[in-house]
Amino acid sequence: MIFEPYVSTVLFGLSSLALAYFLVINGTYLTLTVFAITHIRQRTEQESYEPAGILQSNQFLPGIAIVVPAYNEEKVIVDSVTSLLSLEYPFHEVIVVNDGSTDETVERLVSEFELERIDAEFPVELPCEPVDQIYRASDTDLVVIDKANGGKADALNAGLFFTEKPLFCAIDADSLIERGALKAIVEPFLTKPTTTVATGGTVRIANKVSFEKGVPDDVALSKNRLVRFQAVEYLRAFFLGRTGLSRIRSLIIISGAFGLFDAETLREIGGYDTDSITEDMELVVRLHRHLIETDQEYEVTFLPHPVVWTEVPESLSVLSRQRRRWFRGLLDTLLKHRSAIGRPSYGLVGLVALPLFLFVEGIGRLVEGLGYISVPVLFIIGILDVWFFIAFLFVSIGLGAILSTVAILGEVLTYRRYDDPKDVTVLLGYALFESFSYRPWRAFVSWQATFEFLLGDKSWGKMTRSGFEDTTDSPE
Amino acid sequence: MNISTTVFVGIIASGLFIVFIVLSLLAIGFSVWKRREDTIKARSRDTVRQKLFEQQERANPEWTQWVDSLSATERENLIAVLDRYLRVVEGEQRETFLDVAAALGLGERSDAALEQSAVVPRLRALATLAMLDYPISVDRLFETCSDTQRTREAAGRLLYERRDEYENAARLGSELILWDGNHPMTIYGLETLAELNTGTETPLLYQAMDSISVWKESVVIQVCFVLEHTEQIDPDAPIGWLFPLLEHESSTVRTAAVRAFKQQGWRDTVRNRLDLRSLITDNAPNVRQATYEVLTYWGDEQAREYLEWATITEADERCQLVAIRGLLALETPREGFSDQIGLRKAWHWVEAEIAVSDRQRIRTSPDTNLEQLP
Repeated sequence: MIFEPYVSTVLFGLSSLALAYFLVINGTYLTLTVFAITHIRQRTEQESYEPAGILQSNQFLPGIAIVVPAYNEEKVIVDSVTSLLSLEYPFHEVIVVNDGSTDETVERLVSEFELERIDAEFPVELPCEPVDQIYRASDTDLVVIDKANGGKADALNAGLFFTEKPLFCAIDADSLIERGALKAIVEPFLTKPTTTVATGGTVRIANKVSFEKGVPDDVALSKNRLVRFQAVEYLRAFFLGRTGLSRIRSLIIISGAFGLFDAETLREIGGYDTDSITEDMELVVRLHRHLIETDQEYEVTFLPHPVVWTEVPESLSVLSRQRRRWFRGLLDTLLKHRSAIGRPSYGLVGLVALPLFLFVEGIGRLVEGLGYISVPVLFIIGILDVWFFIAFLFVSIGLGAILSTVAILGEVLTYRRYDDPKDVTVLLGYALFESFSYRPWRAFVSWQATFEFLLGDKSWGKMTRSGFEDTTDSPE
Repeated sequence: MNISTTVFVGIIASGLFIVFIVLSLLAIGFSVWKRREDTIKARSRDTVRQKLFEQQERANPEWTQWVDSLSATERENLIAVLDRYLRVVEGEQRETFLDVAAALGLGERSDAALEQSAVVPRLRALATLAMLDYPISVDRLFETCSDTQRTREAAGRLLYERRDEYENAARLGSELILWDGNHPMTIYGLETLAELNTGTETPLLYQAMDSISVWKESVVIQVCFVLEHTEQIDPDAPIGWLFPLLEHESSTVRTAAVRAFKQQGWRDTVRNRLDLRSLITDNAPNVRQATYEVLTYWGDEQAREYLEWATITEADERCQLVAIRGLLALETPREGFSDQIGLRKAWHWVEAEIAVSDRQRIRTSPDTNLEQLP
């Protein structure tokens, strides 16, 4: 066939590109790993000693508003708010923003916490969908803003522009902050008061973890395979990825599940972008840009020890929807902020963080997907050299598995939330196995998301949240 | 494919495989070992604790002899048990535990640990020494612990915890923590500095007077945090250095400085010199808001007048709310005051908030007659 040599050349080129990309991706993560491990080692060693005296340091802590956007969360909202109100932090208020729920979310809160409607219009303009009512409890620091549906970012903006606390913490209604986590995540705001604008904490998987008074009582690994893959992935992402990015001052994601911000600075930049489907990433990128453009010295820090526990999807369809949304959001944010990519005037954010996300998390995933198809096909039809095929397998599987293993080893040596050796062994198995199954699937989903993005899809997709105790459907 | 490529790929593949296996074995090995260690440690601590209390019951415990009879592991666990108890117990029982610590040579061990170059062992040693009565000189503290901010703070804490044993503990501790003013403090350092400067002794104010010009901005703000939360009663302590900070170019510094005056309202010099008019017209909302909060805390006639004025002139809605809340906490303004243009909406909101609080307070009060509720 006349085109055969050209097809072979193109396929071989794609395969080589995929191989090179694997090296770049894993090399990048290995570099971040080095930064992360040194930092975490220092940190855990320092935390291993208990200072003398009984600390009363509460007096210095700044006020925090914890904003919980809620849409049809009637089954989890009371537990969630009860847990948030009992956090070990003296000056925090909980603001639940009911985003036009069609169930009994507000009624449950009003009855459980004996809320009273404030019979006046809030005097500060809230840049969100119309607010119907605002309720307050007098004996607890709880406020409920009942507003028309406008999406998560819109709900977060309502809370951000309502609060008078200096710090703003966004969390999901089905997440659970560990009791002492607020005190830990606020620390940089006290120790670096002139520069800290945002801090992020670790998100850990709550599926099959039991809690007692806001403290994880028994951390066991879920039996669900998909959850196990995500457990490895979360360990890698938070334990190594974000710690490493923070060390090189290139952190451009603070998870929507647990982040703390200087409220005034967020209001200065207009709050969350209601058009974005990954409002958390978009916000942090915009924050960086604003502070750089206005020539301010600042820090965005990731802290590995404050933890929020969250439920992750247990079915492939739900996980696929979530990941497609994340990938579309990534592409959307990169496209929106393309003018900063590679620009020296944006410092490390322009030269390292954004290119890293573009080439590793964005294009890298797509090239990885191409590799998973083209390399085996070429090998089967006999075009590809056997040694190329073996090299590809080892680089794609071996390096990936090593990275995950380093994250698991780091967990064992430091925080030890998974302290049962059986769980550790299972995680290691999944670290190896993910390269044959989970990672190719994730690459496929990234392609799917890219097509959806090109077709202009900006939907959130229907997410199913099970909460800590029950199962409930939630918003479009 | 030639042989050299084959060998190369083979080496890489084997290398990766070996690395994976080694890391996996390490992870599993550590997890098994740590779990076993936890179990043994917990069991051993229970046993040691029980033995400690049994020994304590004896008429003549002879701690040195008893400690010598323990195994090395038991002695380590005894140290951990003592560390826990010495933090919380007082009185006679504390004296007993101090005797056990002396028999263990805990003071000497901790003193020796101060020679180490690693930071964490020194921090542990300082934490232990802070709880003991083992004599340690100020010179030794300065000599072994002044190289890092964390060790300086831990040494400062030692001086605070054992302040009755040291002359000038507040001054020396504050000097250690602030040092050259170039190293921001941890929360622990802030807390200790506040403890050292509460009440009659306020060396911080003197140090600030001498050195504030060379301190880092973040340290200046932290010192303001400390002043905001501590009460000083020395009328002669210098406070003049705080005033220029109100004109600092950074609004964060100005805000912190305003808040630092919160506990200084009793000084006539402060009230006379503070230019409240310029503070409530500062172009940064944070500074104005902090001023309203300080005025509310002071609560005197002049504060009321300024708050009243601020509620009318304040352009920022968020700040206006703070001013109104402050004013309503201090007095019931004259009739018709809230009807002024630009004030009505915010005023109604604050009144509605107060009404909710009042209703709920009545409802939860044990003397409530439910029929009285609106």
